[in-house]
Amino acid sequence: MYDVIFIGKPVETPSLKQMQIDPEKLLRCKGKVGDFSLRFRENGGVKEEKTRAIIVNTPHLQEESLPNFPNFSEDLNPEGEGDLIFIQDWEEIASAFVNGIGLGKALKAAKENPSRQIYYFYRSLRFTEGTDNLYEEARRAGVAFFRYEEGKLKIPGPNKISYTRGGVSMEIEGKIYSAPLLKPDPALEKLSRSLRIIPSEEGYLQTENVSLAPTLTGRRGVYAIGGARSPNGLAGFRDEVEFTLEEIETLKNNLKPLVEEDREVDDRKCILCYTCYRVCPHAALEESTEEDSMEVLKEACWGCNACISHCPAGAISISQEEEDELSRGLKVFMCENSAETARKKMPQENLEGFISREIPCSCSVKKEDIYNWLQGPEDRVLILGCFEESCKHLEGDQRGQRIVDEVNETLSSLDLGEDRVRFERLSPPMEKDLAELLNRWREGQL
Amino acid sequence: MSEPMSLLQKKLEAGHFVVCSELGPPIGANVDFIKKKARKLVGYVDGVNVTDNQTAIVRMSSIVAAHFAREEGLEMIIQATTRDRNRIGLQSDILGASSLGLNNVLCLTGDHQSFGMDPGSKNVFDLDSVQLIRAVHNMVHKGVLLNGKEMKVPPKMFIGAAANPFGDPFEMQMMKVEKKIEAGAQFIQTQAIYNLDKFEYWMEEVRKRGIHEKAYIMAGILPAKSVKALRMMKTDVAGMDVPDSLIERMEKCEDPEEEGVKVAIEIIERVRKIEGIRGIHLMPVGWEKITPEIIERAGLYPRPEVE
Amino acid sequence: MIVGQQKKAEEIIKMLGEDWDSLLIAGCGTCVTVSLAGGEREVEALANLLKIYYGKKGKKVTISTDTVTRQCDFEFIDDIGEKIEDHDVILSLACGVGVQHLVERHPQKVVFPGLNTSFYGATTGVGEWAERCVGCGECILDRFGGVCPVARCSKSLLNGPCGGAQDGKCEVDDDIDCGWELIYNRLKDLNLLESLLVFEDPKDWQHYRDGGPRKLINKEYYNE
Repeated sequence: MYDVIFIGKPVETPSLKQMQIDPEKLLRCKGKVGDFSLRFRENGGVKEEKTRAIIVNTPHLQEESLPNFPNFSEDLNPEGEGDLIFIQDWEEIASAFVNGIGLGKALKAAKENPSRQIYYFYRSLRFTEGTDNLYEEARRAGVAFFRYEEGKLKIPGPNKISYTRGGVSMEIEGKIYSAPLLKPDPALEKLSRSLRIIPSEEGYLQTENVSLAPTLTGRRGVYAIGGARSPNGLAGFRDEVEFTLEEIETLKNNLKPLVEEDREVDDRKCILCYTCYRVCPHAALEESTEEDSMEVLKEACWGCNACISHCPAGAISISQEEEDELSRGLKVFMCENSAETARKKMPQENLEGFISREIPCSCSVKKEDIYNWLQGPEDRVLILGCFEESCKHLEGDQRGQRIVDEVNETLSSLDLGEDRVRFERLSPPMEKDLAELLNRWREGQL
Repeated sequence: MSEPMSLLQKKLEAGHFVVCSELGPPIGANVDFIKKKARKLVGYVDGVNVTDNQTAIVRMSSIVAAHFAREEGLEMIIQATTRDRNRIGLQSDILGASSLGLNNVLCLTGDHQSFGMDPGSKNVFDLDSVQLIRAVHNMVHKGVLLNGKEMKVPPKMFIGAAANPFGDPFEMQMMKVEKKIEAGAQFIQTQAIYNLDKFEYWMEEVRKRGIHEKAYIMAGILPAKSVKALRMMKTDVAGMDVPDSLIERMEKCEDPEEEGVKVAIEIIERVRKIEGIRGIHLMPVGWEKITPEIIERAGLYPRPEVE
Repeated sequence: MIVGQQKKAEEIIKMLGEDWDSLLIAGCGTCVTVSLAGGEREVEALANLLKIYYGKKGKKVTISTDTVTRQCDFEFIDDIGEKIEDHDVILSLACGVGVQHLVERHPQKVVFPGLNTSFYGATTGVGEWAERCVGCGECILDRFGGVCPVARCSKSLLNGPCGGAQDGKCEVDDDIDCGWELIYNRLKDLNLLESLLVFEDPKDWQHYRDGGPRKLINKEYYNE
C-alpha cells in the first residue's frame, strides 16, 4: 500500500511512501480514498498497485496567443534600439501564472534595456503573493502599463499596435511579445475517464469550484496539481503541493466518512444498470465484489443523493430514514450548501406558511416525490440549489434544474398549471435574496 | 463487346462526345407537359434522363414519362432507384421499359425519403445500387433474373450508374465506383460539378485506377439560375460541393441568369479537356428551357448522327 | 438491450379513456429500467402524476403500481397475476413484447402500452442510447469490421456509401454518423479495406420480418 501514487511527474514526499505511473499507462482506478487500486501497463504486462491517495501532475501545454509573435519566454534583447511591447490577455484573460511570468519578464526587460521603452498591455492583472510587488517594481523600473478593452487594441503591422481608450488613441512601434495561452495536456481527457473525475470545461481535472479547495477533485483522495489542476494552479504551485500533502497525511492517519448516514443499495432491487455509477459526481459507486449489485463506497460518498434520485429501480436509500409525509401547501427545499445556510441567517418569519426541508443537493429530489407533493391544487414546490460554479457536487444544480424542467413541461402539457415547481439558485450570503424570494413565491409573483 | 443496346451506346462507342440532359416528370398526370418539354430538346441532346421520384417527391413514373418523351423522337434514359421498389418491382420495371424501347437505365440508390414530402414513408432499399446494376446486367447479358429464372426474351439495356466525386469517404466512394463497373455499369453520370479542382483530382484517381477505360464517364453540369438556387444546393442537396467563390461571383454579377449560363459553359469547356470524360450530363433543374442555349453556346450543336 | 421511451402523459391519458375505475401501472425491471423508461421509479412517477390529473378532473380512481423482473416471462407476470385481475385496466411500461405477453396471460384484461419500444441499442452516454442492431436474423458483422451496415446506414446499403455522405455525416441528418464512414475507417485501421471490393449479394430478408413473424426453437431444450 502506497500513501500516494503520482500520475505524471512526482514531487518529493519525505514522509509519504510514493510511486509514479505515466498518464498513458493508467488503465483503471477502482476503490476509494484510503484504498484505491490502480491498474496500469508495465513492461508489456499489467500491474496493480494499491494506494491511499492519488496526485495527478501533468505539464501545461503552451499555445501562442498571437501566432508569429515571440512569447514572453523568448529573447528579450532583440537587435536594434526599438521599444518592446508586451501583450497579455489577447484571446482570453490570462491565468495568474502567466500574469506573473509577464510581469517578471517586463521587469527583466526594463532592467536589461534601460534605453528602450517597455509597454505592457493587459485586460486584467491578477495579483497573487509574489506578483503584486513585481508590478510595483516594474512600474518603478519604468514599464508603462495600459489596460485595454477587448477589441480596442489592434495590431496593424508586425511591429505596430494601435490603442484606444476613452479619448486617448495612440500608435506604438516596437517588438511585440505576447502571453502564451495554456492548454491542458491531452492525456487529461483519458485520465478524467479512467479516474472518473468530472473535468472542467477547458479539460482540467480541477473545476475551480468555490466549494472545492484548490487541488481537490470531485473524487475524494484524488488531487490535481500543476498543469492537471488549471493554469491558476501554477502560480501557487508550492503552496498547493504542501496543502495537498498535508491533506494526504491527515487522510492516512484519520480517514472518516464525510457523511453520517449510510447510503445502501438493495441487492435484490439493483439491476446493475450502472446509472448510479454514471451519475455519481464523486465516483462513490462500484459493483460489489460480494453481492450481485452496486455498492456505495462509504468513505468516497459526499452525500448528495444523486444516486438515490436517479436509480431507475429505486434500489438505493438512506438507512433508517423514515418516509417524510408532507402536508399540503407551499413547500421549499433548500440545498444545505447554499440556501439552507442563508436561511439560518434570515429572520425566520419569512418561512411562515412554508413547509421547508433541508436537502443535501438540489439534484436529490425525485420526480415522483415532486408529483406527490403537488397532489393538492394549492401545492407548489420551490427548490433552491447552488450556482453552477459553486455546486459542491459539480453538476448537482444542473441535474436539479433538469428534473424541475421535465416536471414543469409534463404538468403544462396536461394543463395542470404552469410554474408550479420552481428552481432557483442562491449562495450562502444571500439571506436577503432568500427572504425576498420566499415572499414573492408565497404571493405567486416569482 | 456485344451489340450495342441503345443509340446512346452506339454514339459513345463511335467515339462521340455525348450530351445528355434531364427531364423531371410532372406532379400530376399531364402528358402534354412532357411532350412539350421533350420537343424542345429534339436535336440538341443524345439522351435524356427521366428522374425517378427525384428527392423523394411523388411524380409521374420515370418509365411512363420516358415513353411519352420518346414518342417525340428522343433517346431516353430511365432512372431506377432502390428506395421505392424491391427486387421484384425493379426487375419487372426493367422488363417493361425495355419492351417500350427504353434501353438505357441509370441505376441509383435514391435520396432518402426524409428529403421529400413523405418523410413518414417506409423505404425499401431491398437492393443497393450495386446489386441493382448486377441484377440488370445478369438480366441483359445472361438472360436470368436475380432468382436464377431464365428468360426467353431478355431485356436490352445500356446500364449506367451515378458517382459523386464530392462524397465522403473519398477512397471508399472510389471503390464503390469500381464495384459498380465490376457489377456491370457501362456508363457513369457524375453529381453536378462546381468544384473543378476537386473534380480534376477525382478524375486523376479515376485514371490511376483505369476506371475511364472501363466505362464512359459523363460530367454532371447543373446550370444555376440564381444565387438562391446555388445556396440551396450548397446547404440542402445531399453530396453537393459549391465553392463560396462561385456564390460570390453570382452575387456580384448584374445578370444572374446570363452568369449562370456562362459558368455552365466554362465548366463544360474545362471538363471537355479532361482525359476520360466522354460526355456531359446537363441537369437544369427547374430551368430546362436553357438547355438548347447552353449546348449551342458551348459549341456542342448540332449533335452527331449514327447508323 | 431493448431501448424504450415513455409515451407523453397526454397520449397515455387519451389512450386510457374514461371507462375504468382502477388502474394498475406495471413496470418492467430489465431493459426498459436500464433505459430509464419503465422501471419502478418511472412507474411511481407516472402514478403520482396521473393522480394529480384525475384529482383535478374530479374522477375517483384507484391507481396501483407494481414492477416485475421481466414482463416477457409468464413466471414473473404471475407474481402479480391477482393484482392484474383486480384492476379494470393495466398500463404496461414494458416494451411491446411485455405488453403482448401480459395480454396473452390475461386475455380478458385491457392492457395499454405506456412506452414506445424504440430499438435495440447500447448506452452511449448518461441518458443516451443508440441503435446498433435491427435483428435481421442473419448477422453479417464479420464482413464489415464489426459495424453493421444494415443498422447504421440509413439506407442499409451493403456495397458502400451512397453519394450523400459528407464529412462523416449521413445525408439524412448531421447528427447521424455515416455508417459507411465508420466501416471504412475500421477496415482501413485493420488493413482490410480491399475486402470491401467484394460484391455483396442481395441480403436474404427471410430471416428478418419479411419471412413473417419469427419464432426460435432451441432443440436441446424444446419439448414438442
